[in-house]
Amino acid sequence: MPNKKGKDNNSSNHIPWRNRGFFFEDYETPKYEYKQKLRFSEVKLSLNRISFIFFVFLVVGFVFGSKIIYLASIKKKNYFTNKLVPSVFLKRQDILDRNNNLLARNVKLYSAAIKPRFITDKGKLLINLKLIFPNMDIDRIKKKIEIGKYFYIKKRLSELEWKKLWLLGDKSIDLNGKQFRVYPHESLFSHVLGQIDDDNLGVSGLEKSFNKKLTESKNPLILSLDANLQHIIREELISGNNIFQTLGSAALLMEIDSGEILSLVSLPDFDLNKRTNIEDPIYLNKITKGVYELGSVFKTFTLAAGLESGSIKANTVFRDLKNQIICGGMPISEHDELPKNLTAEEILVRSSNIGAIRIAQKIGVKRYKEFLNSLELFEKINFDLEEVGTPLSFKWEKCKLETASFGHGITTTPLQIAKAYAIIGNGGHKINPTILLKKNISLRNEGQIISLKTSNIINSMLRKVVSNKKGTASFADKKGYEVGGKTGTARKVINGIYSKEKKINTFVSLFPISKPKYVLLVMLDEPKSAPDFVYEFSSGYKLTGETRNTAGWNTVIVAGNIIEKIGPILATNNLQAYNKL
Amino acid sequence: MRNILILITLISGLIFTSLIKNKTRLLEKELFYLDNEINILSTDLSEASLDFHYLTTPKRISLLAKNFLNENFMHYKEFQIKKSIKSEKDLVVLKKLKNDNTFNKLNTNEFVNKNTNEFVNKKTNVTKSFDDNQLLIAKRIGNKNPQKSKKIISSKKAQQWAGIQILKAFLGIPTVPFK
Repeated sequence: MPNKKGKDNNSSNHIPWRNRGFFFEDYETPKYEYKQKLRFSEVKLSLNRISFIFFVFLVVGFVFGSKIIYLASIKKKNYFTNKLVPSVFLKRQDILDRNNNLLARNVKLYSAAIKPRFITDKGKLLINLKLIFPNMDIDRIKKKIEIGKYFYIKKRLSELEWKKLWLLGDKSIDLNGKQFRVYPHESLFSHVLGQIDDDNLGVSGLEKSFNKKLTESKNPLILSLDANLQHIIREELISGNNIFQTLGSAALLMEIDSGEILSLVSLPDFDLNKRTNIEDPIYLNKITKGVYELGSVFKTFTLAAGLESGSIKANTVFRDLKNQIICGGMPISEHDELPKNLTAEEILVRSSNIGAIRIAQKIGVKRYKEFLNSLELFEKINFDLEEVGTPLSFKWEKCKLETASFGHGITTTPLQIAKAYAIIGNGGHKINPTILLKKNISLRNEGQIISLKTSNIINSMLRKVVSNKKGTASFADKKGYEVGGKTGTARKVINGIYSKEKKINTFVSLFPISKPKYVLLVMLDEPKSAPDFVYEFSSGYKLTGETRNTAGWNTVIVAGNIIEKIGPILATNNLQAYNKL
Repeated sequence: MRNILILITLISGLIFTSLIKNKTRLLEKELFYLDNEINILSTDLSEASLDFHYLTTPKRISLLAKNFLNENFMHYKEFQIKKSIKSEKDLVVLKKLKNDNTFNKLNTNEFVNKNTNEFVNKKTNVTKSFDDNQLLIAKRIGNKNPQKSKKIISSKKAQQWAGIQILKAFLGIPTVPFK
């Protein structure tokens, strides 16, 4: 029977394992066998160790090898520098004007915050803060510290403030750098550029509509706007606002061939560097978002529709024009006493309401409606900004044709009016207004809306509105610039009733009219008569005490001043035009 | 022999690897510094251009012009400007002058040459007088400085100082040069 050690017990006289005593022999192994076993175990151990070390090296080698392969395969050229050098890459691209003047740029600025947990001496901290920021509400800071949550004490620190706070060496003050948007022109382009939020995302204006391009593109966004023209126009509007005590005003300057907007001003405006919530409707972009009844500026379209349809000619005489008619129970009258017989041209030059109605009646609702629709006046315009107004919908019911003929009862945005005038001025070619610079792109291929002949006739009529003594816009007759245009005085609708005092006065001009290049729209919101203002006629005659409050007595003045100032910058060949006169 | 070759290859491989690695490390370092410098410079440039754009906004320029320009720019309308040729009378005078061949005389080459010579002479005279003045000033400056330097060198103080130094040397007192 084999014992526990596996030995045969037969040789030990059959004594059972349990009953046997301890014998060394039982545990002895032959010397040779022992040595062999020892050698074998040593080799095995050393082999195990080697294989273990080899395995470790293999793992290390694999790790490093894979890292080397990874480094070799990645596309980033500046892998090392990207990891170590502080990044200067900006989250949003610059916005430039057509002359590469900077309009918006991201910069790294510091904000100061308080970490209440790390405050060691509250009193000292508050005193220091009061010394650095004398206007700061310390009680408010005290309360916030007591709440114990992380909070900002000031964003966009100046360099001096940052240095002072940094020198305090207080652990509880957190000076964290963040990218902020800076607008060097402050409020000059406020309605165009819009604003961004704390996360550098556009919330209004171009910042919103071109958010993707500004964040992803490597190139700056170049606009068609001109900072110098914008400044001049804004200054003239402000001066006009002061003279005529307006509620606000707006202006748009556009190239009539390309549709590129050179200037877009809407007043009042706001400083873009002081990001605020602007909820007052007075701050809306009057050019793109504002929807208004713009009055007699529509008469140009009535005349164009008449000429285009062949219903009238420039010298077609309209006889027995009444001073007042009743339409749908509402009286429609002339703004002034006008002759009873007027030609189509005179109707436009002298801005006759009744004459415009007669022309529209001759054209007929269908053709008139089609013509206005072809100018896209009553549908939402496709524009670069999101802040675009939708003209109020209406039905061509009884009397609509009559009121529409002189621009009442129908609404649109000033941008669409400027676009329509550009089409009429450029020979009838369709254009799309844009705020982006589009180099060497001719937009004249998009289709013709009116004939060149009609365009030329209308242009000559518009010139007469300005140059003719009986025209309504003679104050805009700036020698050398060949201004042509049409005035519009519309009563504002307050609570569904036409106000007698509150008006929207507009003047849309084209210049130089012999070969129109620019359209300028100026609009004054609720201007008041200016009896103290000295009106200077081209003859040198001066007039004061004027109480009339139509576009010809205020908006035209502002527009004339603008053209006189921007004319030399636009280089409209002043001298040539001058010699022609 | 084969083993020696393998050994040499291995050793040289090791040496070259370490050399290349070292060189790469140095290049990487240099690249890092250069990138850092570029970043700093581009940040500076961006800030400087922002300053420039802010300082040259039309609003600021018009403000500066209002505050610092002495010229009082007046806005004149066309009718406010008097024409240089007032009336037909002036035109008659001009015609008479033309008939008298005054203009023809003026246009002759002799006249032109004479006048240009005169002009050139005048110009050279002016430049000459200017050069003379400059020379005079230079001479004055040149005369002033040597006089001053002469005074310094030949002053009694220097002689006294030299004497004292010799005396000190004889007496064994340490001399203090250029006291």
